Amino acid sequence: MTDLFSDIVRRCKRGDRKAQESVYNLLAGKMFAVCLRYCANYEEARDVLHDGFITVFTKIGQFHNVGSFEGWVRRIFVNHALELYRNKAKLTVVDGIDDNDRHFAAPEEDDEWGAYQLTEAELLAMVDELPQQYKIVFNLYVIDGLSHKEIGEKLGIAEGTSRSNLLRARSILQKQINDKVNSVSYKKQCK
Amino acid sequence: MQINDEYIDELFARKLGDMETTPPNDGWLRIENELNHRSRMTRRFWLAAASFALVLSVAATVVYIQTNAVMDKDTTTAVLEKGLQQYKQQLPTINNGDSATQLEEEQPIVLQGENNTPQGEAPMGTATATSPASVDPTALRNEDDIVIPGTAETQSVSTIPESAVAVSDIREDTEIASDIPVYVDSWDEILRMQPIKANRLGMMSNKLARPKWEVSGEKTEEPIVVAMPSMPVYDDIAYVDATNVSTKSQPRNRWEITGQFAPMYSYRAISSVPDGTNKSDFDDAESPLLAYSGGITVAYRIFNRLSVQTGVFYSQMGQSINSVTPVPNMYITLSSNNAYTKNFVNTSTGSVTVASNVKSDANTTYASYFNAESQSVPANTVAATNVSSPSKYRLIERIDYLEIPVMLHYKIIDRKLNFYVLGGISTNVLISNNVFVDNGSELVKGGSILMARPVNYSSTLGLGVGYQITGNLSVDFEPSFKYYLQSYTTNSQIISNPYSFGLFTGIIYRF
Repeated sequence: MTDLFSDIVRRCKRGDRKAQESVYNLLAGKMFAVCLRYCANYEEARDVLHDGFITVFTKIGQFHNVGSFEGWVRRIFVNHALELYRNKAKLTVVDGIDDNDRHFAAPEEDDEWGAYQLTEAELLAMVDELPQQYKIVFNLYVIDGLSHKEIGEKLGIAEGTSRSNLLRARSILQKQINDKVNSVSYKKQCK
Repeated sequence: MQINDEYIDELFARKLGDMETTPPNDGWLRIENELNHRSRMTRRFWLAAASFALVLSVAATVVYIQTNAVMDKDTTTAVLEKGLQQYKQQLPTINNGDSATQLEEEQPIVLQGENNTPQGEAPMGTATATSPASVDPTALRNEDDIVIPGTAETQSVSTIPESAVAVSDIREDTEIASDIPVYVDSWDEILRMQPIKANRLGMMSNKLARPKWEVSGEKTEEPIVVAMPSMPVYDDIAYVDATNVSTKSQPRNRWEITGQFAPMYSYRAISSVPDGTNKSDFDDAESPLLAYSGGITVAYRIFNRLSVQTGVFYSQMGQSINSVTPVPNMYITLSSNNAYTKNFVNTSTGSVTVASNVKSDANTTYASYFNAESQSVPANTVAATNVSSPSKYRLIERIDYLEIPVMLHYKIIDRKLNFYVLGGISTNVLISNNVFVDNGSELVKGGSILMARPVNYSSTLGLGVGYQITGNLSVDFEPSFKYYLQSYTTNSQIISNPYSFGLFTGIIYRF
């Protein structure tokens, strides 16, 4: 992948608009998925996608071909989404407890195979329904592989809060998966 | 089988980690537009910076040339002093016999009777002075025309008359009767002579007073002064009618560098609105903004009272829009024409976008009290019916310009405390364009004015008062009014002209 991008990156550093468009075409789909995972809604994701690519193209001179270009771009998008979340958190008072904050009981009947049949869109929709902070912690820990310490530093929360948010996010997702795989229509669909 | 935590993590990581989805259709178009806009802004910034650097370079060159001229003069003085010392060693007594009497009678003074040869024909080893009465003063404009008379052997000197006044004793406020002989007691004084002294002394301006070097005896490497400064030759010259001699005295301190800062009152004047809208609606909902401006100017004095100045200023402009209401997105969805309304606030400057990061929640957007340009139902009507307790927000539009003025500056009273008027035009290059949301507790940056004009022009008129602290340093206070020739945006249906009133204060350095 690095080789694929090396020439394009070099041209992007010279401000070649065609090369920038190529980067957009190659990475926009993946990065928009990242934005959708982190943002509260489609509009926010669209804004983060826009701002993220502007940052990529204006700061591309700082990429020195060390490591994966896609990984570098992904970090920019994650950071933009987190910045948006932090700014938004200043305006909105996020309640510590809401309806989703309750512990859910473990599903009585779980079927890993059934869960595996869930599509990306269905899983994304489940993540999207999580409270914003749970969603971000879940994404950072599970999908982007950050430790609780790193998450705490990025979000300005305690490490314990990060752990707690992750547990609650898992519980909610577990219940949603159970509900989904045990639903009659889904069972028929799997058959 | 129960789904455990590890399985959930793996499931989401695998399926969502490399997930791709279709990006928005206009994604690249928006990015490309912004990249192009940034490129243009970068080019303009460097152009402005280059212009400023050019102005500074020209100023520095002029300063360098002037400084070198002064150094040259100082060097000449040092050589003269050295020559004077040599002469003193050679000629311990000086005779200045009849100068005073001759001067009183305003008769031509011929200093060196024996070797008085026609001008320009002085033989080697002698130098000749032509007395004022026998020379056309206009012919003395070139220093080469002046020939200092006599050699050491031919000088006819005695003591200086008691009534004579030394040049070094003449001050600017000294009044000396024209029949009082004046003598020069120092070469240094000649070269440092003030204009008033030069006038009093006729053609003995800095340039004209420089003697033509003639070597007494054999030619040597070092120039030798052949006439003492205290000799009557200069007394004679002092009686040349100064009015007939061109003494071009250059005004000093032609350049000025000024640093200025001002709080600004910024608003706009609406000259016309589209049919169906009222100017008063905008005036009710919008209010002026307190901003600031600051920068550096370089001025060049063309005449004694008139200067032209340019420089670089950072200028803030803008206004605030009150009574902005958060409206449920539901209304927007139900609206027949929602393209212009969602996250947009219409103001007298045009449309303002409100970025999603400042929305209080995902289901809320913003609308202004009036929506003149969109011609939709006024948002406040909707807010009243659909929002249980609508809170009012305030938007602050802020436009930052890099201003490059070209001004004329005329001093009405040119004293230590001076008064002046100034006027001119400025090119204003857009640096940034931001909208801030004031939610009552804090100011959050988010959004911008759409289609902001990248370059605007303004005219300025001001009055000022300055006070000279030292010879080169002054302070000034300058109230000025600035009127922009175009509106902030390129597409607004409302024709408005921003204006500002600033109270500039600054420090001026002259050189």
